[in-house]
Amino acid sequence: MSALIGHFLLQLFGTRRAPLVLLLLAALAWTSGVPDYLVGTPELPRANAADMALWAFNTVPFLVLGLGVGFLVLVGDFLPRSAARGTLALTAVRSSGRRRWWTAQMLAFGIAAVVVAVVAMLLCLLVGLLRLPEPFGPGMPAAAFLRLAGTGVVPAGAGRVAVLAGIVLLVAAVLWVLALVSAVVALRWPHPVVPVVVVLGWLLVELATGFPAAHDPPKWLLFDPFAHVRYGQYLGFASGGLLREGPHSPLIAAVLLVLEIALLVWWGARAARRRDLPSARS
Amino acid sequence: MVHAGDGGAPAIDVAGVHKRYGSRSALGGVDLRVERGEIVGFIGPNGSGKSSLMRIIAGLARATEGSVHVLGECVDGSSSPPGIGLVLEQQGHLPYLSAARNLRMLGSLTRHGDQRSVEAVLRRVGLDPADRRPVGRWSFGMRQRLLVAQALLDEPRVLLLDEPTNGLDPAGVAELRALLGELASRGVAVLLASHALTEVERLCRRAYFVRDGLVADIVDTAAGADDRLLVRASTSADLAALRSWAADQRLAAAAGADPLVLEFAVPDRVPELIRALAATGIDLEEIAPRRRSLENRFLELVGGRS
Repeated sequence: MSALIGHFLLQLFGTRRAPLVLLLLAALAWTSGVPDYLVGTPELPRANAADMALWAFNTVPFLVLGLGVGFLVLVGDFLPRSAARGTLALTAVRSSGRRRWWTAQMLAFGIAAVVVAVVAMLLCLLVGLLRLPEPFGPGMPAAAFLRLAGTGVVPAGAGRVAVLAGIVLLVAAVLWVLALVSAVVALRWPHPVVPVVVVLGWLLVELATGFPAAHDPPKWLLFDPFAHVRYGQYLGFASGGLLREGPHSPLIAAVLLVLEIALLVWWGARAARRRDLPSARS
Repeated sequence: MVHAGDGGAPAIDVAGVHKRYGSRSALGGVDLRVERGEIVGFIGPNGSGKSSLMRIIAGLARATEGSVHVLGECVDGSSSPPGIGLVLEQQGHLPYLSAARNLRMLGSLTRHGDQRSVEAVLRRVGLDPADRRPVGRWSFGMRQRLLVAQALLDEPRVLLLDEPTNGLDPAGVAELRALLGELASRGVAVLLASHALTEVERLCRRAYFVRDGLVADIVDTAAGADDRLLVRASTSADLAALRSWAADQRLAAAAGADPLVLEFAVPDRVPELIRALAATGIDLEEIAPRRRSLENRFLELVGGRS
């Protein structure tokens, strides 16, 4: 299985699209802006690079355009693209079963999501280092992100690095869901455009609605991965730096994300066994 | 699912296979059999269902009806049968890796990716294992050789080849012909779909003509003689004498495409006709059976459509 995953990862990151996504993320991180209350006010000390990263990861353009669309560029048409190039057939005939082949591909998507989220976080930290007056300072006194500790995303008492890692994993999980949805759609409609359009449509709806969930999310939005990834709702970033209680538990969000991922992997594996694999002429 | 089966079964046994995509029928009940050590041609116009059948045999697609057995094991489209090598029209390499790295990556999926096996198979198809250039910079023909190499990497017992001579130069085609002959002599079964009909004719004892998803004909390529004997006279005077002699003998003869050739309807006993011709004293340059090429048969079958 690891060899198969390695093959898929090479296909994902070996294209010219990977450096383009990196450039997109860097540009959005640079332009995501630093709000006054992060730079420092008489009441609050200056923010550090970690605060900057947390801020950028909570902005709609960086989250939806940078991470969402960027990751979609990498994986959105992976199945039809690999069918058109012939790599799909060469890997599928060497797999001991369709379920194994599918699972390896989905795990590769998960690893790719973590890689992209980590790289995005590092880019934001770098931008913080370059743009903030005190990038290594103590940061915001309330240490907003430390409030995440104990809420379910990260353990109680976790430090700054653990909180950042928790955010990275949360974002990676959402990106993974995006990739899984596009792959399941591609199994049913193996056309290079259809899965991308479906997921892009979803992202556009997120953009158009402006993440209403951040302030007062209805219960059903618990099932929207992007509603969870805006962890600002648990911190109060969205309301000008004032901390407030979140509308729902990050723990429930994490559990729901895991369930969504498991359901999509299972459904796709079932479909891959029962349907024709996409061909170059699909 | 692949089920265990009879070890002495045909390499490929396709029975009554239908394939429908929605309301469109790609295969309408195909029967095909390839024995171990046999090279069988599979020819037909574009869109006739060749690639669909290849994909079904490889376990990449499901038959709507009918059964497929490879090396005695049932293939139902939920997995690929073990022991097959596959060459499809798309090349499937990672263009930014070298040939050896590509093969090591693919071989590692089936534990055939060790350096020695990779180097051996690259040499076998006429490629240099030390060439470290990314294959994206290679010519199409070289990449086609690499495609054949990956099919051989797992030491297959069944080879499914869809247009393997695409982009190969004449030397490459000759090498592939020799390679397939050698593999067949070792018991490897080969199903060869190709538009290079001369190659099919040279390599295959049998060829399936498929049209509109149906096997329209099965041709024994060795028994390709037509019912005509070509006789080429030395001069036009000899031709006139030959024509006169044929009329005296009440033999049906017609002008051939060449102005010095007369085509005789072949009587029951060809040797007697040749002896009689020799006894006429007319100067002749050539006496040969007229062979109807696979290409002629193909064009007759498809009516010029391909």
